[in-house]
Amino acid sequence: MNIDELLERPSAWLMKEGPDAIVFTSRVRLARNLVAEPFPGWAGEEECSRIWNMVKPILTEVPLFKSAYLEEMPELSKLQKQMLFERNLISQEQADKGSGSGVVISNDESLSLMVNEEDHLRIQSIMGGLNLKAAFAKVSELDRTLEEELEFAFDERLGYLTACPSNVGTGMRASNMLHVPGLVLMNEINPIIKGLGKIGLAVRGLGGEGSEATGNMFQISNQITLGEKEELILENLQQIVAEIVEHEKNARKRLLQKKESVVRDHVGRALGILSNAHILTSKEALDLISGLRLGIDLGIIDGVDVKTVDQLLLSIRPAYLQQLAGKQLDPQERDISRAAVVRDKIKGKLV
Amino acid sequence: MTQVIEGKVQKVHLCPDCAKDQGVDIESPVSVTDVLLGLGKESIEPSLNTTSTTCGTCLMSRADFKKTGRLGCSDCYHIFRKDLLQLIKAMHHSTQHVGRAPEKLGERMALRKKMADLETQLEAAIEEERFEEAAKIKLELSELRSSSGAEASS
Repeated sequence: MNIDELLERPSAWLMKEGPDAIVFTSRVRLARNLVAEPFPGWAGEEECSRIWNMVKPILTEVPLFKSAYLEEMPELSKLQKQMLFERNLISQEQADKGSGSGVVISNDESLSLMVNEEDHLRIQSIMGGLNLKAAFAKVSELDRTLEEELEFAFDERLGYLTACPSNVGTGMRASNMLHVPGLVLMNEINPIIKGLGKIGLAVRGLGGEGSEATGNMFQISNQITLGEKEELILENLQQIVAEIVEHEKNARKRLLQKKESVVRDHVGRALGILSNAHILTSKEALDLISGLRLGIDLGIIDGVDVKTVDQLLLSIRPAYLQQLAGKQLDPQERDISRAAVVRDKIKGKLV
Repeated sequence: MTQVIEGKVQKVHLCPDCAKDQGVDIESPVSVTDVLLGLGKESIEPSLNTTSTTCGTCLMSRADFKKTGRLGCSDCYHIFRKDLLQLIKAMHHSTQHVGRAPEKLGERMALRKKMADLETQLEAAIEEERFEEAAKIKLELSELRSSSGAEASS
């Protein structure tokens, strides 16, 4: 698979089972390191390159990575790296790395791996909907395959050893991306976010670490990686996410019962602006797309395909807009081309 | 809100005011970063200043670790173990991994446990003068020993 092929098609998690109305994605990643080799952040570029050259032939032979995409970071253009970041296949940290750091992406995009990001290996699986167990099964399978060839740093007391002690133990971070406009519109989201922090779950915005909540999307993940079995961490997260889904459904029901005009106004304005605007910032577009998605979920918008709306989440991102334009765009130009992309896709009406 | 305590999920319904009364501060959740920058750092700081240990494998010093907050290599976990255990305890409320282990290691650990169990059984059998059984256990043990020895040398 080549990079253009990969970047041009819609994100795999959108296409298969796809996201449900509230849980967009499930993601699980494992951090693994090689015994007695300097961690990437401490190693020099030469050492990173040596490690890359050592693991690359092994990764090429893995059956799960049959006809996968594999590349060292310097071989990718700035735009390609940014697009991979926008697809959630690499981190911003990885996009900024040089020789010795690389990425492998399975043919169906459900499994990927970063070499020499913060840890020697970061294995990741993203799936649509509430599917943590399937994503975990996928990363586990790769983990088991790789440990036959590589000796991973492991301590009987502390588990898998990682560059940052916050990942030690299972080395596992599981997360769900949730779309909760009902809870936001009912002003019920803040206590939930704060409560989640108290029980050891982290809440972040759409763009991951440090990002603000845009488009009523929140990413919820486990913070604790030591002292609990992987299955239990996943079960706890899944249970809590399922609970939030119930709250969200309930909030949507109450919105329709008690504030129908408010909802119709919210959705109608989203549709109106998205179909007619000629300048859209990223934040405005995401917030309005959220309103549109809610309208579709509630059955008060007709003629807009839900997959088309979900795909906009990717195609309105800066790198994707520039890829489409075939040239670099400054922020103002991006806002104009973003509005054009959206106008072209959205042609629905309120029912 | 839902609390997860020792693997059990409990539902607690609190309004913000009741939460305050019960000492649950929903206004400011404790995050790992808070622990890293606050609690954790404070508790490791004194020892970081008094010694100058350096990891022999990757040459990371305590001062380097203090500055970056990240380890240099897996051997650093042995070198800075005492400090790390405190920090890890503050972060994860645990210092004992219970999750999966590399399969090869798992097999070795299972073998070691089986041998320890057999040794206990052997002692008990000798103590209780069940010599026939003791001989059987002894044979099984020596077989396990030779197979684990073969594995170690391969």
